[in-house]
Amino acid sequence: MSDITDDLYHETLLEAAKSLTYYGEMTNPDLVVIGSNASCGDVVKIYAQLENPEDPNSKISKISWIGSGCLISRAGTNVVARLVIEQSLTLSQASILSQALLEQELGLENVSINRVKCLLLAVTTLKQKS
Amino acid sequence: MNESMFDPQIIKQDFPILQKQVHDKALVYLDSAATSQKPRQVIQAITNYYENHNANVHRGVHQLGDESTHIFHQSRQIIAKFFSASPEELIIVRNTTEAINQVAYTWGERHLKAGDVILTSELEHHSNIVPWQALIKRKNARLMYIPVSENGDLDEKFIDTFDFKASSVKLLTLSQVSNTLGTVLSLTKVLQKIKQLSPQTKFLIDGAQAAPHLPVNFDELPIDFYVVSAHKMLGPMGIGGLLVKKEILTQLAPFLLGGGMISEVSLQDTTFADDLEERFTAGTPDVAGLAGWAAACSYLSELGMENVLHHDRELVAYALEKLAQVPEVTVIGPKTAHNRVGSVAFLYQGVHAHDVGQILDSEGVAIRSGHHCTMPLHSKFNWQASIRMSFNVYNTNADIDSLISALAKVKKVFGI
Repeated sequence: MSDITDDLYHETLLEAAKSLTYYGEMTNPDLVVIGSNASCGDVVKIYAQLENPEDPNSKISKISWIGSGCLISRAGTNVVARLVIEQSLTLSQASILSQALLEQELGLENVSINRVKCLLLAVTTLKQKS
Repeated sequence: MNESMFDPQIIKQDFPILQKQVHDKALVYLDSAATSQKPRQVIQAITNYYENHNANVHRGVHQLGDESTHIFHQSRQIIAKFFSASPEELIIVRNTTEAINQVAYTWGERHLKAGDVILTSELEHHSNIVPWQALIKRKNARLMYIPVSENGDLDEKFIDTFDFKASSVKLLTLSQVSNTLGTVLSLTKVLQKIKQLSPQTKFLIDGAQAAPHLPVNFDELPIDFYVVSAHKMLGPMGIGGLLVKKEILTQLAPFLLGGGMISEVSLQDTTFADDLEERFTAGTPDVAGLAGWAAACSYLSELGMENVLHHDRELVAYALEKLAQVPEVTVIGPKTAHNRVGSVAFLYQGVHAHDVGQILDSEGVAIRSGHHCTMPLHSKFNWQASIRMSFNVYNTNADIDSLISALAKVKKVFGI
């Protein structure tokens, strides 16, 4: 880790962005959803398998994502994926994960108004299907 | 003012916001291509209008009405003169985007037929693509793009080989200066070919990024439409211009209809005002905005646009020289200053543009990160997003030095 500190890019966030544990494509997903931030070019593709593929309200059993974008969008997307599995969330529940929770998970405070959409990219992407 | 009197340090003092601190650091504003800052003279012109002269124009017979009407006309004259146009050729709009839409909805609706071609380029701002996409769908016409070459200019080979005679190009619409690459486009050749082989083609120039940096002589340019935004050239937001050559203007249907632009109205029918300025000014105009824009034009005229251009080229050259010394940086667009103005965009290896922008902001340096409303251009060259520093009259080499120093923090934070 570098010897320089930054209010936003501190160790928790930098480490989170380095270990993107849910990054990867998925074979046989029950749903695939693509989202982007039009103003900055962040793109994400989220794959999920459901406990009951016939029931869109069933819990997500497996999730992964690929994409490219800024550090906050990548770290934020991975946190959403982790929370989905750790908390056994449904698609609807995942699509209302709060900004405050994601900030807390990444040790962020007061993400600026122009970066909120980066942080929430995965949530807004999942909302398309919920 | 001669060249030696052009001192950006003194000019900077005219811009109150540049005294501001951000994150406890002196603001270094390098995002003027997104919007320029405003000198005290512009802010005062707007304040003065509202404090001393505010009334509707062309309506009352009272003293304030006369004062406001006088400011309205005087401002239009100053703005038109800045572009070497006549006041009646100037249609006031909100911004460049609205100006282009107005051409699409008036001239385009009337003249474009099925199978006709609108020719533009791959490096255009979305505002010079999206309105045409919608128009050609309405008309069953075609939109074609001049490719952009690696050096950030129009592909000469395309221009040499394109069959202008057979292609029914009704409109050629191009930026004068690329908002992303800073390239001053080589327009002479394509213009000559068009005039020679397809004289019926109309020509629109998007001058949003050119007007702040280059002298523009609308009446001498062999073009039909020129579009600009005031806010990029030291003027206020929310006002801009659509310049139209008079021979086209006289045949153009007004876009907006209503009060102020009529000659006579009955319950069944309306005749429009003969006076072109009135015909294209529907509703109450933004007189304070016009006063502010006129003050910006006067400010730039006093500096001298040749001096402004010279200063800008020096900044571009200095930025290119300094960025070349940063190993992680790849400059996009031309590598020399002679065919550039206004901005220098680059990629930073291994770090997304937004993250670079955020770190620079923490050091007080404001730049633009993203695709700068040129997604097709970014897609063509596989740039996910880029970082753009852009200049205006108040910038100095020291501002560029600050950016270069702040880039060192990017390297440290991201452990590159």
